[in-house]
Amino acid sequence: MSLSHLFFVFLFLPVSLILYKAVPQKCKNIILLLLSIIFIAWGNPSDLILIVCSILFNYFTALELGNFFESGKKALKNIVLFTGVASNLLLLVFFKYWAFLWENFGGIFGISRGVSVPTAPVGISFFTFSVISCLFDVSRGKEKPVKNLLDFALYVTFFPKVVSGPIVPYHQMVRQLNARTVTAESLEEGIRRFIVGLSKKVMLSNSLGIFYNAITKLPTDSLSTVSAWLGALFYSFMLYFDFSGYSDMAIGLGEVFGFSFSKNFDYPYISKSMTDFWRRWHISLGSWFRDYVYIPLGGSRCAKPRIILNLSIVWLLTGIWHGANWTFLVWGVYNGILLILEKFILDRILKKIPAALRIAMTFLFTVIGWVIFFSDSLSGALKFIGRMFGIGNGVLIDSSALYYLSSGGILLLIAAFGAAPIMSMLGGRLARSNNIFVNIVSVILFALLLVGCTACMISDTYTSFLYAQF
Amino acid sequence: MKNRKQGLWLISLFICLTLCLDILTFMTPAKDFSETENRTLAKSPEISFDALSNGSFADGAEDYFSDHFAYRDRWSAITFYVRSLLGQREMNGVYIGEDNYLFLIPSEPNSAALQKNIDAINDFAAYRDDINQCMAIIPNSAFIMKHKLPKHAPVPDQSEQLGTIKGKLKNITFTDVTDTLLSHNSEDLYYHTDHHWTSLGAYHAFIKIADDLQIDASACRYDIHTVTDTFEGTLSSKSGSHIYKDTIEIYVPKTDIDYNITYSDGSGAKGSMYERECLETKDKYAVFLGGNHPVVQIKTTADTQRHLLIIKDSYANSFVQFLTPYFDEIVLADPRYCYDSIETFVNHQGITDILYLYNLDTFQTDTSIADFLCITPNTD
Repeated sequence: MSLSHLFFVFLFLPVSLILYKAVPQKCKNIILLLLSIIFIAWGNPSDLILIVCSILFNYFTALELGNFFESGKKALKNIVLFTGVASNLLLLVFFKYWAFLWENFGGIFGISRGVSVPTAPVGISFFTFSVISCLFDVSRGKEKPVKNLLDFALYVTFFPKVVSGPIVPYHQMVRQLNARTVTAESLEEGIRRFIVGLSKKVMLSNSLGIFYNAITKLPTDSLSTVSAWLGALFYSFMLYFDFSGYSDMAIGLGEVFGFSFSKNFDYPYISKSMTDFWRRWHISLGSWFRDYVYIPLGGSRCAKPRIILNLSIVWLLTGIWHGANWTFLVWGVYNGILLILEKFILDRILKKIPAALRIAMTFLFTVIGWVIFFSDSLSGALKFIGRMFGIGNGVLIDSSALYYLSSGGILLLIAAFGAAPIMSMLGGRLARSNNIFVNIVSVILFALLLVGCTACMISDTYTSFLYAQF
Repeated sequence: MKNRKQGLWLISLFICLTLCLDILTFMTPAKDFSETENRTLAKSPEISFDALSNGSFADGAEDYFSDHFAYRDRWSAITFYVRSLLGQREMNGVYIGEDNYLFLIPSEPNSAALQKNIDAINDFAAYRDDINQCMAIIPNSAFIMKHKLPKHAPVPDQSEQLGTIKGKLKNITFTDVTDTLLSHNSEDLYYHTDHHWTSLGAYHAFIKIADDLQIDASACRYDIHTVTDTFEGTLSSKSGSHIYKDTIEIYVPKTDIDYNITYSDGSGAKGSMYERECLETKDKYAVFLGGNHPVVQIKTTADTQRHLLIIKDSYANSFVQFLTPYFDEIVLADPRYCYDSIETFVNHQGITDILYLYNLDTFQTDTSIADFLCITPNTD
C-alpha cells in the first residue's frame, strides 16, 4: 500500500484514526502494530516473514547488547554488535545487490548464468537502517533496549515510515513508544502536514513527472539544449516533491499518532554549498551515515588523508544505498568529490562569493547530479549532460522545447516557489493564527487541497480505453 | 481552550469527508462498465487464502475502490481545470488545442508489426492479382488540423510516415488523401472531442478515393441530416475536458438504391446502417453501424456486379455510407475482432475489389492484419 493511494487516504487512514482513538491507552501500541502489519502484508504477505525474523533477531540482539553494556563486557559486546550489524547488512546485500554483484563480478569467477533473487520486501533499505541504528544506540549505552517485543516491533514496522522513510533513529523514537500524548494541536498539525505532503506528491510531483517522462522519451541524440535543461529541471523538482512529500506525509501521520520525528528535508534547493545541501536533503539518511559510519570511522578528528578516506567511504555507500546500479555509485562519488573539494580547497573561495551566486552554483551541481541519478546508464548520463551544454547536437532551442516551456513553464515556476521557504512560511502563519476568521480560511484552503489531491489521485487511475473504439 | 476546539476542525473535516465519500462509494450500486472510459470496471475481489497470500486480493480491492469511487467521472473534470489553470496543454495523452479542439497524441509506430502487416498485404496482393486492391490510410487530426494544436506541440510528420508506407507497397493502389484533407482543414474534418473523422472528412476523402476504386462519384448528391449536437467523444473523457459538444451529421445518398445490412454478431438484417439507439448512449459515433463488429455485410440493389471487401478500423464506419450506390455487396471485416481468414471472404463471396481503410495511428500499431491475411494453401 502506498501513502499516496486513494485506498490508503480514504479507507485505511480514517479507519486507523478512528480505531486508534477508540481503544484504551494501553492498547494503542498494539492497534498501531496490527495496522502496521496489515499495511505491510497488504500487497505481499510473504514480506512479513522476513520482517518478523528481522524483528526477533534484532530484539534479542539488542537485549543482549544492553546486558553486555550494563555489565561492562566490552569485547563480547563488540562481537555481538559486529555480528548483528553484519547479519542485517548481509540480508540487505542479498535482496538488493546480489543480482547486481553477480551480473558484474560473476564473470571473474567464471560464472556467466544469471541469478534469480526473490523480490526485495518493501522498505528493506529503510527498516534495515532503523534496526542497525538500534543496535548501535544500545551498544553505546545511548538508549536502553526495549523490553516489550511488541513495542520493538512497532518501532520497526510503524506504517507511516516503513516503506519510504524517514529513517527514524532508535534514540529519537524509543522513548516516545510508551510516553506520548496526542493533543488537539498535534492532531491538527499532523493532518495538515499530511495534506501538504500528499499535495506535493500527487499534485506537483505527478504533474511534473508527466513532463519529465515526455522529455526523456524524446531521443537524446536530437535533444536541444533547452529541452535537456527542462528535462533535468522537471526531474529535480519532481524528485524533491515526491520524496519530501512522502516524508511530510510520514511525519504528519507520526504526529497524528503522537510521535514527533525530525524533519527530513529543509529546503535543499536554496543551499549555499553541497555541504549545506546534504544537511538539507534526506536529513535522516545523512545523519544515519554520520552517526553510524562516519563518526565510528574517526570522523573529522583525524589526519587529512584519513578524513578524505572516511568521506569517500560514506559517499560510496550513500550512492549505492539508493540502488544497485553504477549510476547511483557514480552519483555518490560525484557528491563525495564535490564535498571533499569544498571542505579542503574551495572553502575560503566560497566565502567570498555572494550568496545568490552560491545558491545558483549549488543548484547547478545538484541538477547535474540528478541527471546521473535518473539515467539508466553512465553513457546515457554523459550524453544527456552533453546535450545540456550543447555538446553533440548544438541546437539551442527547438519547437518541442518551446512547447514544454509553454505547457509546463507555469508548473515549473510554481514548483520553484514551492521549494522555497516562502510558501510554508505563509501556510504556517495561516494555520497557527489565533484569529477565528483566518482559521476558517485555513481549514477551507486545506480542504480544497484535499479535494485537489483526490481529483489527481483518481485521474491517475483514469484510463480511457480507446483501442476498442478505433 | 479556544485553540483546542479550533484544532479539531481539520481532522474532523478530514474524517467526515473521507467517510462520507466511502459511504457514497459503497452505497451506489456498482457499475460493470464505464461508458466514459469505455472499459469494464474492476469487479469486487474474491476473498480466498490464495488471493490474500499472493496479493491479488489487495490489488483487486484497490482497483475496485478507485474504479467505483463516488463521482469518479466528475473528479477527472476537476483535475482538468486545475491542470489547465496551471497552463498544462496536454492531459492523459490528449493535446488541448485551440477552439476547443482535442487531439489524440499519435502513438509510436510498432515498426515490427507494421512491417509484418505490409509484407502480408504485399503477399496477398501478389497472390490474388485478379482482385482490384486499394488502400487508403487516413492521417490523424493532430497532423491535418495542426493549426489548432497548442503552440509548438510535437507531432510526427504523418505525411512522411505515409510516404514510407506507400513506398513499401507492391501491386496495390495507394490513395494519399493527405493533400485533399489539408486543403479543407478549415472545415470540421474531425470531431473536436473524439478521435474519429466526421462525415464531412470522410466525404472529402471519398471523392479522392473514388477514382482509384473506379467509381464515378461526381454525380451523386446527399441528404445531410444532423442526428445529434450533444456528442462528447472519447477525447473528452480521456482528457477530462467537458467544454464542447460535437454535432454528428450523416450523409444519405440521394438514390433509389436500397440495401439491407447484417452484423455477424447481431440478429437478422436491418434496413439502415444508422443505429439511432446509439445516439442515446455516450458513444454516439456508434450511430454508424452501431460500432465495431467482426463482420458487417451490406447487400444493395445497385446491380453493378461488383463486390467490395473493406478491411478496416472504425474510420470506415462513417465512410461506408458513401459506397452503397456503387457495389452489389459490401463486406466490412475488422481483423481485430474477426477470426476468420480473408480467404473465407474472397473464395465464397466473389469479391472483386478490396479496400484497406485505416487511420494512420491504428495502422501503425495494429497487430492483427497479418494474421487475417495469412494464406493457408490447403483451404478447401
